[in-house]
Amino acid sequence: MKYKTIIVDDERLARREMRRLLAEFDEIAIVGEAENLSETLSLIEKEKPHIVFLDIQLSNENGFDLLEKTEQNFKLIFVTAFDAYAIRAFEVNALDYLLKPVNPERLAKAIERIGEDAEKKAEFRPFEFDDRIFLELGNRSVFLKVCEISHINSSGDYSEVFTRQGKKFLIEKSLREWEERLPEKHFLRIHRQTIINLEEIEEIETWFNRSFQVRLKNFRQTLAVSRRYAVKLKSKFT
Amino acid sequence: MSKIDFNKIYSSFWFLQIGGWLIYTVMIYITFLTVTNNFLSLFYIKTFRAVVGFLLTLILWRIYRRMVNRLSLSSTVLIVLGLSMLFGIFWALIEEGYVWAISKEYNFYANLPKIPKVALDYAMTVTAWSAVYFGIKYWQKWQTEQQNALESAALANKAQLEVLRYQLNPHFLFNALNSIRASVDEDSNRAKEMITQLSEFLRYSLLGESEKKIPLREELEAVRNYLAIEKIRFEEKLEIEFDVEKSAEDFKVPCFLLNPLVENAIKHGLQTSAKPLKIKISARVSGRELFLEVCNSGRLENLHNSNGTKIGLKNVRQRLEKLFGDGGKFELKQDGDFVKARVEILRQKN
Repeated sequence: MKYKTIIVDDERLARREMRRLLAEFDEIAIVGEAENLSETLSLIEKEKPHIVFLDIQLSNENGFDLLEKTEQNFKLIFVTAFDAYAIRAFEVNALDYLLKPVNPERLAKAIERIGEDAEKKAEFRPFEFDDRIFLELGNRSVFLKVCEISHINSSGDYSEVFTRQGKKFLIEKSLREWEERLPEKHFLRIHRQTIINLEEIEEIETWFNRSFQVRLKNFRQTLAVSRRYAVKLKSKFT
Repeated sequence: MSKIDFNKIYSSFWFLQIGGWLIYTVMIYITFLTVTNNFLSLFYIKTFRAVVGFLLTLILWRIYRRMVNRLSLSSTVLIVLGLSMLFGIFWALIEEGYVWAISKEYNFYANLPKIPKVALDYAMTVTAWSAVYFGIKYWQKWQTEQQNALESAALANKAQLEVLRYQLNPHFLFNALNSIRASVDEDSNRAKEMITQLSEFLRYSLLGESEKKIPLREELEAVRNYLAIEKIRFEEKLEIEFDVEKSAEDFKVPCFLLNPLVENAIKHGLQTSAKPLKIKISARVSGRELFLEVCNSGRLENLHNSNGTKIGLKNVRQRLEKLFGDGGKFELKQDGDFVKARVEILRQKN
């Protein structure tokens, strides 16, 4: 089977270079090129590609915005000259990230990964506070800045991620996995059920039985701090 | 041959200690010459007094050396007063003993009531010595601090200027390399030309000195190289126009002044302008003033959401201020269909 592939870049020369690099791979069939997001979206609708090579800095658009506009599922490979913040994903093969000028060996590896087992465990690399993470939500995917996460609630094998804007995502990840990846400096587990972003704390209330409740900036409900984690929370503020 | 540092000698402890006590000795000789005619005993007693003072203050020196910069002002003052009192009494008693030993007509009981007064007198002298000692110490400390502050400010300035200049945009660099890679097969002559242009530009931005002022011609050359590469990247989406007066080319400008403005013009122009983006660069001289303009066909409104640009423009402003004071001006405004970045520099007399 050949992978239907789309190249998105606002520079003709860059697209040409990508095309030439991809010509080496028999499993890649280029079905179209686009130079902005609206062209990309209609190409995606029409061709239903398996792979999209996407430049992040389009002349007046941002490649990140593509995923918010499409329901299609495809493997995304970012191609960029330089980016201050990395993009990380929970799954190794969820997306890839190539730097221009693209190293052909690195490209070969990225294409190899596409065929890999989707169940494969994530390699352990902690997120940074400024990172963007790539999340797969069943049939669609989103980008989320780590610093935009307000708190995360456990929900069985799933977790509910609440953003500062009040959005909620249901993600097939346990709270334990989140705890391992989120930066310790900014995120703290306060309960078996909850991880919070310390920057988002509005106030900490002491209840009559000497337990704590945390109120976050963008949410009205308070969150319980279990006794086990209270010490840690206190130590962050003293 | 090494040069002798007189400043260091004059401010050294031993120089001041010996010199100070010699002056003290001479002064007490003179004061007492008028009130006595027993010159020999005057000489013995007053010399003894000065020697004791000299030795006692050496002991004080050992103590004070440990106190300097460690204790607060109030505890220093208290200790100094206490020690002065103690040393004053000690000094007076030693002298009394000496006089008793060498003088035959010494009458202990007649002298006894005078001792507290003498002790207080000597205590004052010790206090004065202490005041001079600490005064010099604090003055030296203050001087070194001043020196350090000046040095660190100079260093900070230099470092900042370096940083500003090294803001060689990695986006630009890697995109340029990517365009070159793409051109190698498509048009190898163009690829070669791009390599030359990129090399020239890198040489200019990496080897130029930020404090140095260079003729505008050289700065414009770097900008031309930069824009030539961007033109190949953006092709028909970018139009460039230069309008430079001949007389402006020799005007001295700071290295790398124009480039951040051109970079911004492209970055923001691409986001806000209709296609193609037009970039106009002009330079003219009027009297002693140079007027530089970098215009792009974009809009200024969306500027506030870009932090990088703000920093870039702030840097331009800061550098102008540092290098020209009131003689350098910078403004950014919407002028019709163009965003205009304008720099004015007053030629300096030298």
